[in-house]
Amino acid sequence: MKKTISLFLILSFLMGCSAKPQVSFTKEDASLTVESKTITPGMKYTTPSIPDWVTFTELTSCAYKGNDKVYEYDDFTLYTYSDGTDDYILSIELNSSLSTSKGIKIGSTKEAVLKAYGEEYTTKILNVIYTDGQVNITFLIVEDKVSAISLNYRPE
Amino acid sequence: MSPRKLRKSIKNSLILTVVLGATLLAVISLTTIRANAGLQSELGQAINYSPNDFLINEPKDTQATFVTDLASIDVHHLGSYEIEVKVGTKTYSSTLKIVDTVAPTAIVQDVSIEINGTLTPETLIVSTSDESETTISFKSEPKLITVGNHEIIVVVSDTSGNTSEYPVNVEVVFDKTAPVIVEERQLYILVGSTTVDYWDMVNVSDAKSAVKSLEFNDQQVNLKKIGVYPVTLSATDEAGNTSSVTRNVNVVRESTYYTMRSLNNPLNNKADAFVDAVIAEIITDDMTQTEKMRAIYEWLLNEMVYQTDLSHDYAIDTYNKLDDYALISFTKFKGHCFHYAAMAALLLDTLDLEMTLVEGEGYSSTAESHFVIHFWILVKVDGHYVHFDPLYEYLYLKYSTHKDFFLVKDAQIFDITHRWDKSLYPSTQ
Repeated sequence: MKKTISLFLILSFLMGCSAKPQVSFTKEDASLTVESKTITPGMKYTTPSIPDWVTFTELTSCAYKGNDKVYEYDDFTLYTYSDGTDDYILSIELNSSLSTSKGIKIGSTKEAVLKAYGEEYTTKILNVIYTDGQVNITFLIVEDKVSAISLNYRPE
Repeated sequence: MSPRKLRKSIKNSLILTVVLGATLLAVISLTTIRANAGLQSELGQAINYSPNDFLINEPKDTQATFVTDLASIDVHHLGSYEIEVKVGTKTYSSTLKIVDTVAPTAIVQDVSIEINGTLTPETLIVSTSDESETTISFKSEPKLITVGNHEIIVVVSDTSGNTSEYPVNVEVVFDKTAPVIVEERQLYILVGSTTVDYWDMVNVSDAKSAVKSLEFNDQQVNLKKIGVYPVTLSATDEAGNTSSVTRNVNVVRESTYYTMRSLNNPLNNKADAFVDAVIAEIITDDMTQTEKMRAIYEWLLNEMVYQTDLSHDYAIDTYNKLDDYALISFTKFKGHCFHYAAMAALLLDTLDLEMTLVEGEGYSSTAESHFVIHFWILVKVDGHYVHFDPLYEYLYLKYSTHKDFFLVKDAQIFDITHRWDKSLYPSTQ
């Protein structure tokens, strides 16, 4: 009985030591809620759910079927591609006034990014990238501060 | 006999005995054959002694022979060697010393050095000759702090301590260093030009004097014909020192000229840090040039994502926009064809390649005309142009089709996936 209690205490102690919460990125973390509408890279965007864009540009796509579209809103820019029938969100680039779902915005520190999104990231030159399947969130870090944020979908 | 007389008689007898004994020994020593132990032979020279030379007091016509084989003695090593000589049945043992008494010789040369320059005694010696190792030194440390002629005594010593001295003339001058000419970038000249600055993108420096004159010889250059031509550049400093280098200059068509002028423009450096970071990540010194180009192609193919962009101001001052568009796409890893072309141009430029930005059309399955405006890169490899367009491989992969656009020729893509005005661009033929 004493041995069982001791083992339990040791395990409890060890678990207590490693109780630091593990943060991992999922594609839901790349979602953005604007005007109570949630948008995520890769989702269908045939009828734009956020109507009040500032500018809209439509261009013949070199890569995809149909037209590429760019919606510029006050706080972000949204890019779509087409599969020939429907439009899908390819990328969302945040402006300085908008935060990610985990509270990171342009000007946040790299430390804040790692605290919010965890240590499981890759780097590409100045970018810190969190990926889940075909979705990623990319933070451009310049001098330890976030200078650009984009939520991206990489089509097959 | 009185005791006194007796003592005197004994004393005289003893003296007589000693004198007779000494005389007898002297006679014996002068008449008995003995070994001669005082012979020497010069290092490296043949031993030039007869058997009789190793004997003393031998009668005339004594027939002595060597017991020791003189050929077994290494005359190139200092030392003492036992020599046995036989007369009749008797053997005499002597000693022969190999000695070094000859001073080394040397051939010297007069030299000229810069004031306060470093002079080593070895630079004054053309060659030395001696049976042993030699060392070279100054008789006294020279003080070459004034311009003019200085006589320096150089001492050549061998391992036996023999020395010889040679006077050498050292001329001390203010400047004997020729200018250094470094070609920093290749020169591209627009075909049909009438004046050319052949010193463009060349750095000339001189450590001591000012550069007095710059000259060139462009006799082999034909500015009216596209091609690569050698030009000799010569720089002379105020002290009269001249250096020359030959640089190849490239007479090119307009599209190539403006592409390379943009890449060579030091003001177009905004993306340099990103270019360096990518190159450090993907290129290694042991790669061939083709492998390096392939690594750049694969990097663009795999790391970039095609995305329409609202920035289309490349239509104005197109060539100088390469740097701006590359900078954007190096931070976003997204972009359209001009971004891809811009990144490719800057990355390939690190390999010192001639390139041409092509503005043509690319196939689009969705466009009504099936061809839309498109930019890509022509790159000159081993004297021949080829197309480099990773974006089109990316686009084909979207349709699960693999098609390589790495260093392809005109016939492989023209009117199939790409179109361009052939009169404006280099041909891959």
